Amino acid sequence: MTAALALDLPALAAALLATLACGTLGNWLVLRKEAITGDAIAHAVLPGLVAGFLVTGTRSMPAMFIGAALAGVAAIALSTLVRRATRLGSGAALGIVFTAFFALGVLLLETQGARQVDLDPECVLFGSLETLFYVAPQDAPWHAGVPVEIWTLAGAAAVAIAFSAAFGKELSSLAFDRAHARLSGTAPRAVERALLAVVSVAIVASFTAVGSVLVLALLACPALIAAPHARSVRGQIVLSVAVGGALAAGGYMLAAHAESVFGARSALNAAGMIATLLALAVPCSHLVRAALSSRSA
Amino acid sequence: MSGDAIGANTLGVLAGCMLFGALAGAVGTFVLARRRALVADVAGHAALPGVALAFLAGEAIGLGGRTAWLLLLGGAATALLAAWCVPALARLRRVGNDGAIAVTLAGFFGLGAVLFSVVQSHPAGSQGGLRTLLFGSAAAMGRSEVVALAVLATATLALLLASFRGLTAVAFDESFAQSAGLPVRALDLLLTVLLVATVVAGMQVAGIVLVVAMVITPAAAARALGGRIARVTATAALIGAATAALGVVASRTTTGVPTGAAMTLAATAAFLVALPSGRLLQRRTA
Amino acid sequence: MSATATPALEVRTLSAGYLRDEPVVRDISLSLAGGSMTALIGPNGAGKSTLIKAMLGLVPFVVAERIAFFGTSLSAARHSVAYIPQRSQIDWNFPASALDIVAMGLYPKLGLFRRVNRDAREQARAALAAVGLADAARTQIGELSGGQQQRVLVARALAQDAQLFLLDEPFANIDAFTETRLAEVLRGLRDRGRTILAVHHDLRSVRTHFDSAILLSHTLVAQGPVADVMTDAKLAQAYGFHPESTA
Repeated sequence: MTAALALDLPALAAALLATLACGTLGNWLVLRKEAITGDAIAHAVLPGLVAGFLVTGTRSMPAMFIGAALAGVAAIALSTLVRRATRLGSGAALGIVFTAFFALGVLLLETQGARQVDLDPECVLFGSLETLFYVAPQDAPWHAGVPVEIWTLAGAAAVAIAFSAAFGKELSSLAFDRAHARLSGTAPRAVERALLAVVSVAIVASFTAVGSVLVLALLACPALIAAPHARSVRGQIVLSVAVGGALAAGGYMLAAHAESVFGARSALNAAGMIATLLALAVPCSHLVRAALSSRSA
Repeated sequence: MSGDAIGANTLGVLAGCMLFGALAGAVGTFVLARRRALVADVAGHAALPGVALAFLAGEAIGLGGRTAWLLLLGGAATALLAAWCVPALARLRRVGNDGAIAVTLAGFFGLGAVLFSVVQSHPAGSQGGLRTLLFGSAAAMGRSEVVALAVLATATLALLLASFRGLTAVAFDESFAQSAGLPVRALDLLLTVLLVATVVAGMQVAGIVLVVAMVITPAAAARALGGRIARVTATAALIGAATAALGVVASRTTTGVPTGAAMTLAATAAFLVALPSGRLLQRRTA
Repeated sequence: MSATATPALEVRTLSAGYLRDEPVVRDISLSLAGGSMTALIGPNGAGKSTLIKAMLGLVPFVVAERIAFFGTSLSAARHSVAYIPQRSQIDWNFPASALDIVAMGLYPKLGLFRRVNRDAREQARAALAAVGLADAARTQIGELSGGQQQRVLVARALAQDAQLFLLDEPFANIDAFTETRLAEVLRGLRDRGRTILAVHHDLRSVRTHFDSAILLSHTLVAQGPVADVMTDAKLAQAYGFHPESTA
């Protein structure tokens, strides 16, 4: 097995799967003008994650997912309460709640001996794409050597796509005109809560592999790159994942091979590189749109 | 990090942090009034690449990468740039304010991650510095850091007090301020500068992820208690200083708890107490 | 229309506001008979939009003895009520064609997990044709004119096949063609027994388009046939002066 396959392929797979999971769901957040909610949930899931570990005593994925989903939904519900109880804007209400949740998570992490969990804060923030590798097992089928993060991401991506396909029309209706969707009986409140829960799950699934830095970028940027060109919701989602995936692959390769490309001392943080490219692509996409429009005018 | 006698250093750090807390509370009052809470979040995350660049530049020109004022300057530069990017992006079709904030935050934070991987591969770069910057550590502050913090916080506080009238007018009623001939645009820009300075001053202590909490939560608590803007600002400053002090003490006595987290939880507790108290106060005066 | 028929809409002593203890409308009681076309009029800020939204549960603080749609609660009568919001409340940058938006009116009937099939698309096209937008089915809603956008919203409500239509400022800032067409569509609905309640801002056209009116100025000033409501005395009471006499 060549070094490239052993090192690059798993990382590329992780980056692409994270793009599928978070990039797809990000479209719903962006269409609902709730891009910030992704940011908030990414901070708010931490205590849920840690609590899941504490309750089950192991780094059990299901427990951490349930904890994260509950924390995500709770944070959004609480911020709505805060907004109603005060006259603060939605941004301030979110900020108060998600920083409190995050601080609580940090507190739990550092004081409950959860260092055994191997939840390294830096890894959670900046990802570990550079250290994902595949080792072909000697006496087991090939897939036994695949890092567990890949399976988790694949599952999250599958859930994200299935959820979007199943509830696409309800989510579109809610995004376009929430009052009408709720009043006409198109979409029960459960659909919105489910969206938050699924987003939380995708965020947690992506944390250890790509870090919150890339999760934040994936939740907002691919959708916003596709938005200027979109003529339908489905079209936007497809374009967002396609462009996002291409940038993720390109960004990873640039960072991982930075020594040869930039003459750097060592590899650069891949998650951060992808995030930077994704963010830069947003204004670029608008420039492309403007150029295309003026040409056809 | 130059060491000092333990007692004096600790007092110095405590005083510096309380000064930051007071400043954050005061600035936060106007940030909330102008609905800019999340710009504070962007500014915090956006300081990361600036600090990395300042480190690399400092090493390159022989200053030594750990010069406190240089790092603060670098952080402030990128944070200001990010604060400019947000409204610029928000004007684009189908982006909106929420999209602009999310993209700017992600982009600058991502760039920070990339640049810090450069820092960490640098012979003079260490792992601990990043952790301190992300989560804050009062314990890690040496004399030069405290001095830099104190100077920046004092200067910012002075600027805030000098422009208090103008800022109040704009925060209270923008259209009135405009018709009264006040330079609304300039005052908004001033508030952004004050906000960035505050965030950068506090990032060493509270960490870039949670410094936004010190800006908005004590101020929100003060707002819940009600009153005219001058009183709210003063209350916010008091609550900010108190929660900052609590945070520093808590993080010193309970090993392992980063200062930023301790401060945030103290501020949140203050907010939770202020919320019903404010209601009670209002009912009594009604 | 017998006197004992269940009113399409009945409200008793409704007060509502966006902040606690600060009602925008107070003690409103009204009743709409089936097959009527009523204008909700009053000065700016009188609470006309708020009243509609409050009845629909879109306002945070609402207190009322009774809010009944066809004799039952809103959730039970959901499929019979269509709400057409102010055009300015929609972000027309949403990536969708006119047909896509009108089809949203059919989602409740389709139910969860069903796709928009050909039958649904045909119904949506028919609704678009009814408002004169058959040719614009594939046009992006952001490229439509204000009047066309207003008609798309009405078409969406038509696709819902509701019995009661609540419209918020449907005639605001639209071209003459749209105004005529809209009035035709609404009158057609009324003639088929549907009930219309529309917030309306232009006092001069109330008599042309509507049978009855409700005059609102935070509280109910008058309710009934247009001629009875739009008297000098009542209008002066609501507006503080005679609004029709200002140049």
